[in-house]
Amino acid sequence: MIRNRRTRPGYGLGLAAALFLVLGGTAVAAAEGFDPTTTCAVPEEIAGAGLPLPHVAAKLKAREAVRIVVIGSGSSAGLGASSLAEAYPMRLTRELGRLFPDAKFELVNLSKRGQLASEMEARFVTEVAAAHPALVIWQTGTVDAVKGVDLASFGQVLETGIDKLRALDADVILINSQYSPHTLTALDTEPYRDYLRWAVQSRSAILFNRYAMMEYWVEQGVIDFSSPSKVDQARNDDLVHGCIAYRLARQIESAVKSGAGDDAKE
Amino acid sequence: MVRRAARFLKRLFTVDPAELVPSGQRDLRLDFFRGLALWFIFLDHIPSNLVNWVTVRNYGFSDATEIFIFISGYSASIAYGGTMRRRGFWLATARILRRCWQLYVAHIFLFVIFTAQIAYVASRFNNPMFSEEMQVVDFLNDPSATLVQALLLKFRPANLDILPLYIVLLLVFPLVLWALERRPAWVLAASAFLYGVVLATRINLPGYPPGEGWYFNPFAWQLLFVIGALLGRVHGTPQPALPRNRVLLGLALAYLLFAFLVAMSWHIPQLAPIVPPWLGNLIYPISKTDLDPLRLIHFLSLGYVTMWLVAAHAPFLKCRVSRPLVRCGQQSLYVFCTSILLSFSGHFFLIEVDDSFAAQLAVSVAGIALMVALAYLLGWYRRAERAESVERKGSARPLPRA
Repeated sequence: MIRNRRTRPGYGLGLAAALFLVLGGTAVAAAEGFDPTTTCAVPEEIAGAGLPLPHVAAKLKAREAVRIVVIGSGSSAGLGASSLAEAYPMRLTRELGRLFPDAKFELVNLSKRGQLASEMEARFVTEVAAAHPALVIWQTGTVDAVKGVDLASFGQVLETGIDKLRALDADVILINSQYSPHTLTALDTEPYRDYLRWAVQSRSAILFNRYAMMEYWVEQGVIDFSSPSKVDQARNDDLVHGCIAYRLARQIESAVKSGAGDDAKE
Repeated sequence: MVRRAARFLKRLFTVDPAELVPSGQRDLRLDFFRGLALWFIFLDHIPSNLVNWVTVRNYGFSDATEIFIFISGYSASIAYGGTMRRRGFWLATARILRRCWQLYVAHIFLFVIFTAQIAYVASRFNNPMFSEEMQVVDFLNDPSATLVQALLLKFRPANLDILPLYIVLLLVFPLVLWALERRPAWVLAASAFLYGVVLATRINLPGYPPGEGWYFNPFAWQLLFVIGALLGRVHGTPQPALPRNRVLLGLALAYLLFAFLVAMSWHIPQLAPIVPPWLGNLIYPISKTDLDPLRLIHFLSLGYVTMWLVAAHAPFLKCRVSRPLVRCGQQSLYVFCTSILLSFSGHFFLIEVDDSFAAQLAVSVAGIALMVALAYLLGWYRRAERAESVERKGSARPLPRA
């Protein structure tokens, strides 16, 4: 949080930003008056390798709209964000718009609070298929960990799920659990994250390592969940959603560029 | 070489109980490695602590739990086997059940402290972004069910799983010990059979909420306890000891190296090709609940290599640097409970006050220092009590160890 303040003075001078601060700061991050390139920085090994996203790259090349489906549980449905527009899925399209000014991105958010991986996977051939996505972002694992779903069947669902999404001619990115410091002693998401990493690796899908990123930001003092104040919580939560959106957009950008390496010289 | 291994097995399974005279000297290796396991358990129980990179779980499949359960079986066999032989089945049973009761009370005490901390966190930090994660504390909304299920050992929050496992293993131990005295080979066969049944059917003791099993499945983990008890039984008797077979050593080292490389591939993305899909499909998930064979073999390899490297009376076990570990191992129950308590508090400090690396290091060092201080205090107290009772009785017979 301290670091976040330090990176903001250039923007904080503006009247609008000052007003937001007076109003309790709930919308400081939401106002996009923060610089994600410094605030949301992460080490290279967490940022994710640039595996190709062929379907997204093809749509971009053909100058067609890129349809993105986000399917996940509470955090993807906007928990913590001041509004659905400030949750990471909507902000992702804005970030992508900045990185690819000539392209058009359409977002379909099918996330529902409290859904297990198996419940989402059951919707792939119906709702997700109906949206005709070029890219599916699948966030899962936390609800399964809370309910103690059998690890082997969780892994099975991930693998068949990725295969089903591939069969829709879509690229696949998986997002793992949030780093939630206050529930660490009571809730162990590690086995589920491990299995998710393995499913992603064995299927050559892309992992968005949200857990490691959030843990890093907490360690660096960029975000601070230790305050019980609602105002601080809201500011941190919006910041997390903003940074997740920015990092996702950057990972998509690097994936598209790595796949385009053959015909486009950098 | 093969003949020596056969002689060892023969002795293991057919030794005459009359020959099993426990040597007067404690095997410091047991205390040393149990102490080490306790330190590791403490560090591993503090999430996001960089210091827990030193613990064994990061470099292979098994972790400190295996060390703890194996040594517990081994020393239970030493502690109660002699009683059973000299004083009969009922006195040994009474002593084992008394130990069970101590463990049960300790577990309930830890449960209360854990619940108090979780309740505080839940009421103070209800950040909407984590409302899905917070459902893990929903048990607080139904105290009547939760408390009853906790008393029945069916409800065991994370990190409070090892003591309940130890309790149920000890509860049936009088019968296991009785059978070990008569037909050790049959006991091992029955134990391995039960383990095989778990692998085939995944049967487990029922837990709470309904549908959940025990995090450490007692039907699987009993095998490690029984192996420990079987080896502990012939502990201290004259030759032959565990055979020092170079082929076995080579196999164990190769397996440890394989496990090390696989474990490294979890942390270093560049090493991912070490585990190609066919291999991953074969070995994942590595179940901790059912003591996956990969974990069991890893621990047995580790144990075999350790036995090879560290002789029973290796000088380093007696040196001053090892003494804190040995002392912790000698007071394992109290040190274990305190370590769980300290890991809760340490984690709480890290998320509330300061989570820098310096703070992580300070919390780790302070926690271990407190564990060691407690072990020394208890050791001093026990010696003082013993001296007084010897004085009173006017005899030099030491008190039996509980």
